[in-house]
Amino acid sequence: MAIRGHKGLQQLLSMAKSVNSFLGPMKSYKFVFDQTTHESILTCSAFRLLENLDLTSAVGQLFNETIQAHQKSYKTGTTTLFFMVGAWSSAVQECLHLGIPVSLIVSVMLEALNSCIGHVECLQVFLRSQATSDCTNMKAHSIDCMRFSASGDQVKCSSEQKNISLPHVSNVRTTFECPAAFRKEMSLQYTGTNVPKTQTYQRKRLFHSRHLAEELSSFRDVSEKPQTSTLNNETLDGLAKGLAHGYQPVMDLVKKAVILQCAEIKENLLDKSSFNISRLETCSLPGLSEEHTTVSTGYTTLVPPESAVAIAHLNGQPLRILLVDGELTERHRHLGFNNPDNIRMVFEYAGNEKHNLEDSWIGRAYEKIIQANINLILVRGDVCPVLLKQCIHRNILIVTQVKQNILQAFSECTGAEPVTYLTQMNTCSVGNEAFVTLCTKANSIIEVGQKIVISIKAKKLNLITTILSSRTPATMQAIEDQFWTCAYRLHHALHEEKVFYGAGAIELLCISHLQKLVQDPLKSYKANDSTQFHCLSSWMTESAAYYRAPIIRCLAKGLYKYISVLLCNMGKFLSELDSVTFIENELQNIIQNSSPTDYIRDEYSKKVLFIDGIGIPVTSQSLPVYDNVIPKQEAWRRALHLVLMVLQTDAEVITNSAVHNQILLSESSNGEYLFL
Amino acid sequence: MSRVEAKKPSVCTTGPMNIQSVRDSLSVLHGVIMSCYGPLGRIKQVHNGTGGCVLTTSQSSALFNSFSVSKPVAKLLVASIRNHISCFSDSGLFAASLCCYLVDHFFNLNIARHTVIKVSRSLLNMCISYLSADDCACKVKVDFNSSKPLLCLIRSVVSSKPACMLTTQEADYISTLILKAFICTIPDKSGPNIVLGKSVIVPIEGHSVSESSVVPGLLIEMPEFCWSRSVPSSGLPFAEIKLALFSISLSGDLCDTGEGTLNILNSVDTENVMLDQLLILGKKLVEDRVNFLLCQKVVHPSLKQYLKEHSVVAVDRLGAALMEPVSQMTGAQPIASLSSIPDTCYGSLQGLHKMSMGSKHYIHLIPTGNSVCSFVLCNRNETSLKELMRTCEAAERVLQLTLKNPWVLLGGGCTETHLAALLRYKSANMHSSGLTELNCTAAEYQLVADCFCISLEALARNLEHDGGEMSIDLQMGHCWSAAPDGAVDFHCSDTGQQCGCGTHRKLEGLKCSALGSRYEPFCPQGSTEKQLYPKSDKFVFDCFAAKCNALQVAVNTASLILDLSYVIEDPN
Repeated sequence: MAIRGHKGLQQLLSMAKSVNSFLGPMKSYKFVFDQTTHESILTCSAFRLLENLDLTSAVGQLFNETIQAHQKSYKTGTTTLFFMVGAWSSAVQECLHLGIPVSLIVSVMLEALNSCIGHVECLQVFLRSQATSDCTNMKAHSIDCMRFSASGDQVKCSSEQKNISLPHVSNVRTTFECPAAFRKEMSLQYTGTNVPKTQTYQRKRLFHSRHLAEELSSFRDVSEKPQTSTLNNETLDGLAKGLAHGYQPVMDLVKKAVILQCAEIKENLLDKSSFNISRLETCSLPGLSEEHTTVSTGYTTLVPPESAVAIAHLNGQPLRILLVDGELTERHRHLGFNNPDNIRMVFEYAGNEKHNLEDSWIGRAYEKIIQANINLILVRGDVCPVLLKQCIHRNILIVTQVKQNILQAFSECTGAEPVTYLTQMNTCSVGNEAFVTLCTKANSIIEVGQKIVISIKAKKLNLITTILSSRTPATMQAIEDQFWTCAYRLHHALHEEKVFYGAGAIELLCISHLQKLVQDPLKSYKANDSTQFHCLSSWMTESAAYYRAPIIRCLAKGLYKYISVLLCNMGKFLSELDSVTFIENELQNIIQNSSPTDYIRDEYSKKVLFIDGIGIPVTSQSLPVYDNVIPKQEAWRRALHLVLMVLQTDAEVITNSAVHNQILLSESSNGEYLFL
Repeated sequence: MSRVEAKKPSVCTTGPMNIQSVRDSLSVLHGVIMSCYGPLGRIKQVHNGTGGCVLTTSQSSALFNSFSVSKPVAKLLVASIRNHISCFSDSGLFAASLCCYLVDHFFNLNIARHTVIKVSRSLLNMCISYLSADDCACKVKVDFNSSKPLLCLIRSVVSSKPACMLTTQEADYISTLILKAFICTIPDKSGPNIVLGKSVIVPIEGHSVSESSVVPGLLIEMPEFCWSRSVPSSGLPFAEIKLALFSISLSGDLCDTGEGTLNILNSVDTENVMLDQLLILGKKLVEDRVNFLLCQKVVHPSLKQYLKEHSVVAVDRLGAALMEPVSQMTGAQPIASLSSIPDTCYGSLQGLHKMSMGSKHYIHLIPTGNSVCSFVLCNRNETSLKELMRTCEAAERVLQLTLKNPWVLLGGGCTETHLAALLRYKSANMHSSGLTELNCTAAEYQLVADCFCISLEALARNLEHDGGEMSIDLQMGHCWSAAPDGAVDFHCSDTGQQCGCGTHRKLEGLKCSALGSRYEPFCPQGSTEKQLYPKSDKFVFDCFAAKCNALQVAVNTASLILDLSYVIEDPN
């Protein structure tokens, strides 16, 4: 059973090799071709690649689950995760070849990664340009102050800084009595995993984690900051360019969308509360030329061309709007409504009366809509075609397939409360001041795939739609993915209010830190309780000191590989040998320098790495490349956790008896399978 | 007309079962279990081969509940272990592994099986009576005035599951949270009919473990868009809250139509009738000044709208699992009809708040008492989160058992080696009266006792998965771990600094012998110091009740398997 670890790691390694070309700003597209259905997709993002692969092994499924979970939470950094899984799988295999026990590999690698992540916090760039350290102008309530830091360049790694990693307002005490059991406990010593052992902080309120934020109905403005220090447009520009990583044109669109959205709310104020990513939408027009790509306020969508007459009539008038969270069909019932099967309708009279439930429903629905004087209906699902036609004759526009967040946005700005059934309509359900227009380009209606493009606006609507178009429909999905990746990168950067220097800066610092750990093992080892092997009575606690060095070196190798592939892909070097030489030189420089963080900060804050869409480095501009903080750290952690989990897995148990027969019948078992 | 097939007759094995086939059927299962044992054990992936989710775990509760075995002897073992786990949730792998070792070693003996069974029972009784005695050297009394022994116990449970991927600090933190949640469930006042409260686990994926916490009351998930639809414009009620709890569906459908067909005249609109009834119910709730409605199933949107207009917050889709905690916490009795609701079935709450964590939003129900708490558990991915959930449930069960029986056993293999040393000593000095009672010779007794002790020692050795060696010290009978290829000599030069459970440090003059080799029987002594915990807080403890029961289950199941002769199978 000992061989199993290799097998699982081998599978991970072979899967992860495919994304080498996705790393860095110059990505090569890949086709994924399905031999059974003869469909293919074009992609340059790691998670779409994995989505379309057939993963039959258990390890493959675990891998997929990790990638999809990361994609769902962060929408960026997936390629880093994918790549590091491969890099660290081969690193761990090397450790196994050296004969290092599995439990030690797990324990030392986890601890080394934690130490790295704690160390690189020094290289964070904070986005606020002003220091606001006092909270005297806060309200007199016991709101704990958000502590801001000074500008990134002067900040040293101080304990002050480490405590403010997350800008949440901590809990506001209310008058509710906490139960006796909680009151009894004294403050708890808690050491966060990111913080080096020497700095611990007392947690005052035990039963709420610092991340569980309570919103109280009586404190609506709890998130108001004492100062309105902002990120001005120039900084946003630099931030956006640094985070683009090769998607410059798409990032420009995102930037425009963000500026538009914030302009709706406040003039020239851009901070993390004004950019709301759930109010960003895209509308894809495959097949049309790129000139149609624009960013505009309001909701842009596609409707059947029959609606054009109604829209022309409604153009320019303020409209009464109804929001339907359901379907406008006779059959629709709300979720959770179960029609029992054993009911039979009995008609009193036989004869020519054609009872058509649907017709009577349509009649009643139409009546209700007309009576309420509604001009525009946004429906989450579908609409009955007959009703649609009738409404169009009366110049009432119905838009279908509207997403939940868009309904929410319209509900907030027009005051209309979404209804599930038309019978629920009352004065609160109808909103005002909505406007609809046809989208035109050079005085002609934009048409794609037998639908026309329209735009719905409302007063104070903070919804921004970006129209994406591409002459080659195959790249449409890729462009949409790129848009969302860029949007989320900006969102994370603004939300966390910090970024890392990119282009391998963090990885270089980590490698030098790990090298230092290797050289100085015994001294720092015994001092730190947290670095001891978790099973104190095992023989490995003693031997850990001797095995640490090769394990940490292997961990560093994974990061090394990442930088070398990244540098090759960036176009800086032609071969891997050149990039490795460069990395070695940099590491030497770092070691000789008295403060590695200062050195890296100097080097990478003026990196001349701005490459435009066609791959030519534009040397006249020197802008730093940035990376998001938490998505990157999480990508590393998840990659390492997956690799170590697979390392510790030594057998698969298959429970299906059908598969059992299959294995018995097939002749290629080769002793691979044992039966329970 | 339904198909009728002739029933196939039962099939019986042609002769008594032979030893080899029994051994074979258990060997694979044993191999799987052995490799999962302990904090350094390996993880297994269980799936059904045709897609679907993959279960990655090393815990006995998850493994045994998902295995499907075909061989009858293995089925017997799995069934008896499942039974043990359902009551105790701990020491499942211990019981299964010990049983397999016993079966394996007993089959090697050339003694009549009924003698073996009798002697093993007597050895078991000796173990249990020793463990239950007051002067037992491998158990420690739990002092509930201090949190340290309980924390050690919980930490031992939490850190023995490698699939949770916890660092040492995270394991410590989770242990304190588990203890806190447990203390929450202990009622304030004593008296007759004390019922322990409940701690409901709320799993959140994607955050780090250090963001877990324990909050009083319950958390019910409510997505962002539900807030504006269910919460009235006056906000959440913040004073004394009257609560109505419904267990039937308020979605306006005819749910209980029974069997057979229902004929309805077309002029009767069932949905309208149901909706009218629901609105009458809503009116009654408003008249009774209820401000919070909870429903296990779905609430009709029209009813929700009506309630919102009248400042009643409605939360639906509670699910069956939360019904009991809500009822316990608020005193509300679940209402199962649409009319004639008595006043006594309403409950009360102290407050309602909104809580968010990342992208998840919850409504927080704050009770007046403290019987129910929510354990917000976070972990990075779904696999580790599920494993952590199981671990926390197991730890809670262990705490409940310890509350009933306030002892813990020394873990890390020390209890097993201690018991083995004791049994060897006692069997070497066996009285002839005992032998005549059992109707066997001294030699037979010695052989069976030897097998028993070897099995216990093999279990202790099983904690080592990375090639190391284990040895036993010849004074107190605790086990010590040593590096592989080291010199396992008389003077314990190559062993770790402390014994398996952490109570003894390596001292000068400690003599030991490799575990599994022959040594002179000695009477293992207890520790001379009575107070252990003020010294350090890194001991390894095991749950007393679970381990004793596991011992009994193992020996009884092994005896049962030894006693098997024929297998009769029903192929239908």
